[in-house]
Amino acid sequence: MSDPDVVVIGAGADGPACAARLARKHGLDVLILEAGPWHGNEQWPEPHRDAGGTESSTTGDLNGKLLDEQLTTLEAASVDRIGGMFRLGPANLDRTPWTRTIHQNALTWHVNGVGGTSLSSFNNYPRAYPHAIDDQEHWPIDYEELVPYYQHNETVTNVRQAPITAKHRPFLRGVEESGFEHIDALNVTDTGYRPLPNAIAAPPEELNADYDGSFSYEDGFRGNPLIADEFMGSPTPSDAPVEEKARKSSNVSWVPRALAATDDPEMGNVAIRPNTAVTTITTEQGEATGVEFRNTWSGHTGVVTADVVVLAAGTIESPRLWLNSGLPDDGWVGKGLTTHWFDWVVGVFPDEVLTDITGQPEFKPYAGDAGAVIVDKPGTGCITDATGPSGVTSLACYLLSRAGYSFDNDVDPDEPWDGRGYLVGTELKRKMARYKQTSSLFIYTDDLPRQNNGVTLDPGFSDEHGPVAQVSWTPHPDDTAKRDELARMAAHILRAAGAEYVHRVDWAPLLTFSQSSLGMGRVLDANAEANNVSRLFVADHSALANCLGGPAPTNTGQALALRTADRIADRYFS
Amino acid sequence: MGDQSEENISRREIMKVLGGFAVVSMSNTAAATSWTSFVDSSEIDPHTTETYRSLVDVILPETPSLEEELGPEHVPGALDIELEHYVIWQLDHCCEVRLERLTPPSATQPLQLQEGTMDPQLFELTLDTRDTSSDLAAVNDQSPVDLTIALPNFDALEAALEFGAVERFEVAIADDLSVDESGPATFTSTVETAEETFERTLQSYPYASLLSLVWDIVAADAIATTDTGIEGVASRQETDGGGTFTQLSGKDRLRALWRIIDTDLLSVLEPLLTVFVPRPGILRYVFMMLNALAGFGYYSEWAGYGTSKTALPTERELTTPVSEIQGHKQTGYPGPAAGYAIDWEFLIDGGFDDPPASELELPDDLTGGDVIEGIGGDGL
Repeated sequence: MSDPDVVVIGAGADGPACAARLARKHGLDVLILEAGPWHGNEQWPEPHRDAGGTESSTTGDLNGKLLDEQLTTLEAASVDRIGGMFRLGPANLDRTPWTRTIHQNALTWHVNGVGGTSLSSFNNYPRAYPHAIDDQEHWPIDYEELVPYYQHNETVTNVRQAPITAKHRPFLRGVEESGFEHIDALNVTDTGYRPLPNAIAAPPEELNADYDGSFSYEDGFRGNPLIADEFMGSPTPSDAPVEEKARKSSNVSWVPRALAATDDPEMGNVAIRPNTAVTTITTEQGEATGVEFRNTWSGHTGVVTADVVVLAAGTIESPRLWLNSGLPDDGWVGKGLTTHWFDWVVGVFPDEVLTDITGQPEFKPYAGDAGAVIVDKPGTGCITDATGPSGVTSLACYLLSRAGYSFDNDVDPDEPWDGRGYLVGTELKRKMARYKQTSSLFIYTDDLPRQNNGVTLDPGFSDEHGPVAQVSWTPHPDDTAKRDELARMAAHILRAAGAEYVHRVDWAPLLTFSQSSLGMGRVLDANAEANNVSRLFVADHSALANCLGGPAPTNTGQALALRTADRIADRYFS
Repeated sequence: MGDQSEENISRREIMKVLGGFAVVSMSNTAAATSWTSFVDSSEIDPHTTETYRSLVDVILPETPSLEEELGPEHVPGALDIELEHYVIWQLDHCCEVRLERLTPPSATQPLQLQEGTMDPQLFELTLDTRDTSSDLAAVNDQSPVDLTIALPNFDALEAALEFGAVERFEVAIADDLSVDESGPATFTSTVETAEETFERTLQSYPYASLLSLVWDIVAADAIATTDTGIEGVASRQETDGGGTFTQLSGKDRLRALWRIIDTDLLSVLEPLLTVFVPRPGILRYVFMMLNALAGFGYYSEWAGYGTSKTALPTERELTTPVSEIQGHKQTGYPGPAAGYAIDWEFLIDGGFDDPPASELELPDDLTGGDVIEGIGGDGL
């Protein structure tokens, strides 16, 4: 596609949703440029070894069996930050990842590629808390306005309550024993617990402990095969076409839907070009005119012009590109970055307690959705469960902390945990030997946008695209107080369920589901258009005005991107 | 056809000069070469190897004491799967430096760099300890400031700091920077001991060996600082080529590293550390990496790649059945599967309540109340 109406920078969680809406509802031609690879597309049979094709614009190129071959779902091969296929780096896996400069004990975990970080996502799809949209000062629009977009997004991405399997039952037992109220709504305005809304197909009714059939789509299996492979790319059910994979990450939901517009003569066309890093947003007299790009395999450069530019490269790369393009900065570009100020609290359960809760002395942390239950506390944050394979489990449970080594940490007897900080040595092996008796709780804090937190350009280090992003994020005491509260709640819940050992990891900052670094109401107006650059819109999680009160941002990011598509069409194409 | 990218040309030149070979992809776009993949891990010098062995050994040790409690499969630890090579590989392959971004400061304005360019000298270092009075004196020779004045604890640090078997260390850019090229810079990382010279060539920054010297400095500072209670417990002869870091007890190695985060070590030692890394702040990030990588590498399938463990990711081959990989045996994680026959249920009959926007009736108070007594509100 050489003459699009709109060029979208990034085919992650939200860019394809915006592109699909522009083409399907508004008949526009959209070109999406994505810096990373494309899996499950016949034009790139070996996306990490070979430059492959140039551009794909039809669902006919998508191939689910190819996706199965490419995604081994082995942990290191999949999510190793440096050598894994889901990383932040060029498709060529013989090269290093791209750099972000961080001078802190902190970790970023973002993925580029068609699907973006949603490739590696649990696909939890709660909505924002209305409190964060309507009460907090950040958003220029109301929660009510997002609801129709949420509903449409939830239909497209197959959002439904998560199925509960044995691994989720310790958390459930704990919340019930603790006295949390049951919530059955998607719009949450009070404390309670509910199954997580997940954008993952339901399991088929015939799947249960006695099932002895095939899990292959070709043999008739439909829906969720209950393997917790979300983090490693979730290519199941095996042999299913891409659109029929159970976890509806962007590459499985909005990307095919966008390409289907091309196949439909009544709609506009969408083309996606992977391996294409945008290096500059071009402007003329305060208006965006297009982009300059560079192919990550060949180094060839080029230009695309368009009537509107949509920036959707993620909370760190979007502000970096903005700044590298020399666009105006009134002090909030890249700033106000929120991270959910995560924490992780672990419970290890004895045989008899698990037998009482699940019927067995241990459970399979890899069987069932990665996360299936959420405790909501609008105003403070939320807590979900999260279990998965052993490598990531060791890292999350015991090897990412700002609290030092547990062997030197005194534990306050008034606190509801038994250990805090890094766990190493014999104790680490002892605890990891109980992997099948370990529940992890994921704390999401309602951290607020602060101007000192975020992304700047690193004047001391550049890659082939220019100065890299330098990220600085320090927690505010008010947010840490909320986090402490959630961690105590989590520890109490695990105790109430009967855990015999509770560990508060006290994570170092993890930037993964991050938000609000080019926030509406600050850098963008109520249409998500840049205040200082006409025809430039932002449609990724950096556009969110805050961290939504705690809940995972994908549903809201996509809902907002759909709304932004409508605003773009109204403003420039009606 | 005149359409070859600069990148392809520079890699072919590298191949000619260094006599190696590159992985050429199907579409004739030369993939980047990472020379470590063709290098036997015995070409990594003993100081580097011993430093990282001593790190992973304390995080994931051999545990004979767990045999009776849990079974014999729980005895082996990190050294049994050479986890030090995972950490070394990760550090050596995490960062490319681009030739097109390397520009020496101009002759007329030596302190001015064009925006978006980097001084190549920032990435090069030569240290020679052979004719100096101490290893710290050798670093002082490379420092633009006199460390005997800049460091408050120079004498105590000097007494504690040893780089083990390392007599000469060099990181250098192999490319000819007077030629206008683009692509990843090629680095050589050279360690000379009394017996041997170990040289490796990488198209990424060879952090592992460089940082192994920094960990010796961090360890020496822990010893030199009186209130830490940390002292060397192993003699130089006992550490198989490792330096001060390997002379510490297991926990003290971790305590010494934690001081990067927990004390003002990075600012007090800044003049010393900047000889090795231009911005010592990154050491906080590397501290995070060292711990996180040890666990992830150990409990993932990495050990199952056998002799291809340190090959390029696209060249690795799993040679051990997934469930039999050491970390998987110790946790019971079986590896990938197509699905699981397990019982499940939905909690909410009929699904979530979800009125249309026009019927949305949000209450006045949108925040949630406390549930667990004594927890909530203003945080105890």
